[in-house]
Amino acid sequence: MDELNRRDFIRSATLVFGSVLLFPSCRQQQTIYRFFTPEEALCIIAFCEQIIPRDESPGATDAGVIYYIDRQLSGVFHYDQENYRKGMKNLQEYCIKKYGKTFENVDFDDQTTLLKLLESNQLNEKEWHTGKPGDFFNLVRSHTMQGFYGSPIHGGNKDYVSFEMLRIDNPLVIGQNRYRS
Amino acid sequence: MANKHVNAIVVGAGAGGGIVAKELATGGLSVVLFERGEWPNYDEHPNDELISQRTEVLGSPFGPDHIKNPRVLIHKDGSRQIVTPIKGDYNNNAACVGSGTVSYGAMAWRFMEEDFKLRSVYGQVEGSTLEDWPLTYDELEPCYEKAEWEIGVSGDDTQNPFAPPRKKKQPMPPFEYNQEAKVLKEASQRLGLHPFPIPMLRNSVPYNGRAGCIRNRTCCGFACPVDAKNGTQNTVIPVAIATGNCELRTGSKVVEILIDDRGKATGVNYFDKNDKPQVQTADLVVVSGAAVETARLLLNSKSKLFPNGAGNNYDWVGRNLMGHAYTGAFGLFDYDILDLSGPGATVAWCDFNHHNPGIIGGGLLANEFNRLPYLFTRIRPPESSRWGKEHKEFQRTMFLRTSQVGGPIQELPMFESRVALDPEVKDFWGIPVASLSGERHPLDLFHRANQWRVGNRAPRRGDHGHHTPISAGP
Repeated sequence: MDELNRRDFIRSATLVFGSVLLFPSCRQQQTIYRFFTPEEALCIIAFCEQIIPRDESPGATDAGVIYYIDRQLSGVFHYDQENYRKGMKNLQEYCIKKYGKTFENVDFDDQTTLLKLLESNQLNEKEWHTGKPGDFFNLVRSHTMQGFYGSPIHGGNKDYVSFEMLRIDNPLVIGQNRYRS
Repeated sequence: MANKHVNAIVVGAGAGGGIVAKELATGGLSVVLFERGEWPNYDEHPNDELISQRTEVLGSPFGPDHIKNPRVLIHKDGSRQIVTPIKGDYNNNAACVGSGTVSYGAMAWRFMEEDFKLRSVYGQVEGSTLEDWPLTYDELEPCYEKAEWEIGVSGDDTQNPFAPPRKKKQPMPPFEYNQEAKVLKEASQRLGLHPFPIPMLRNSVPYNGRAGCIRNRTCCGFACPVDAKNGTQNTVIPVAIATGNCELRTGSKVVEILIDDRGKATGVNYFDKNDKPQVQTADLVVVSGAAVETARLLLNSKSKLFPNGAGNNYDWVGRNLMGHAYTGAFGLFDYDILDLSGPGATVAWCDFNHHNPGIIGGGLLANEFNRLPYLFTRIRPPESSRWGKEHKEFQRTMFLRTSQVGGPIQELPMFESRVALDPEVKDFWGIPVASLSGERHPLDLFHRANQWRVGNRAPRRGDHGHHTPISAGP
């Protein structure tokens, strides 16, 4: 097998493998979180999906970003627990007042508009009373990026979906895929 | 049981300490080489960007422990902030055997002749403590040669018209240009610049009994899975240990240099692997803990003749802290320019190292090391959204189509940029931690970088500069 063929083989093998493993996530399953309550998790899942939405390739929900954030908030990021609790509460209060429903039930485009307001600190102190809205936005945004693009061993990037999107060779076959014939 | 007295103690098994320990041990002296970390291992964090020296989001792969070793950052307005090794402002270096030489990008630059006499070349610079070195390039040249051959450098200085004179070529041939470097080489030559292969402390061919580079893409910021990156941990430290004269004591945190009433260093206090306090005496104490921890150790070593810390009777210890500021530019292409082969950086330019109008010093340029997926999410043109569909589209199309050229600049020493002891914060062992404060000089390259452009065929260009007030990392 010459070099190019081998690389193609590895790539297509990953593709097939990856798509088979996507099926289980379609099933309804009961998830136990370490930090989030089930209600909070729904809110953050919707938030993360806004940051990295599904299009022709998987989004934050498909990649299991919520599991990354949940796991890290119970460990290395324990100092952000309070920021999450306050931010989520504030976000839900605002949504119920403005849309009559919780964030995850608000229309996708309205969610986008709201998060843009958060990002650019355009909510007044009455609407957002837990620090700067942009700080909460940036916190969730960077955690979403880490969960989506980091190694799956930390809870997100399920089946290396982001690596596939970026066309990064995966699995990393050390050395072999770096030699040109 | 008391530790046996030795001829020499070396504190820190990194770039400097490893070499000193080897020279002393092969010269016949008994040596204890102290290292607060442990032996590094690629397999602990393989291909894991979030625990790498590039983005230490979830932990630093080579230490130190992010809870036990805080530092304090003092902002311009005087406010204090406690930072841990996983925050960028900490300016962390690897805490393991070999230290930064395990995880570095491993460029093997010699100083240029001007670098030894900056004060003579540029004159007195207001607001800076800039001085000439007390030695010249010619005096140091034999040492460069010895280090290049003992530790292992690949490269070809004959292609760099700005390289200082050398008697002997580099021991290994240079790395071949990757795809990005080939494009940049041709474009820069059209601009009249002088591209050449980067000198690297990395085996382009098998060398000294270790393998040649396998082009692994997780390279800079990671340990090497086949040990083809050359640091003190796989060269001089094993040589030192093999003499039988050098004991490497890992997991040992040296906290104080013992100094007698006549001002002579007699040994060190340290906490061993089990955090038990210990004493080691020696005729000679060498401190090689890099810019921050060396200063901290000296300042924490108070004695009768040095009440403000070892060697600090004139308040110069920890002063003139200089760092590792980068400047550079990105180019967006309409085709895949990256092939993701390690080490990534293969081409460099020294056209701007010196003699830039209006700037003191300058900086080298090189194409960037391996691209990492999370790090790339922070790289966007000014008008581009950082999230949502637009983020994803940019990430998907431009990950392999973005070229990055940059390099560390020549910083200017500032008296008020410094390491000091924090009056309140202590580490896990109860020892005052380092505080970092200061800023960079307005005449360095960093402040002029926005006026620069790297010419190439890119359809759009974005300016870029990491902005931290000081940067004393690896």
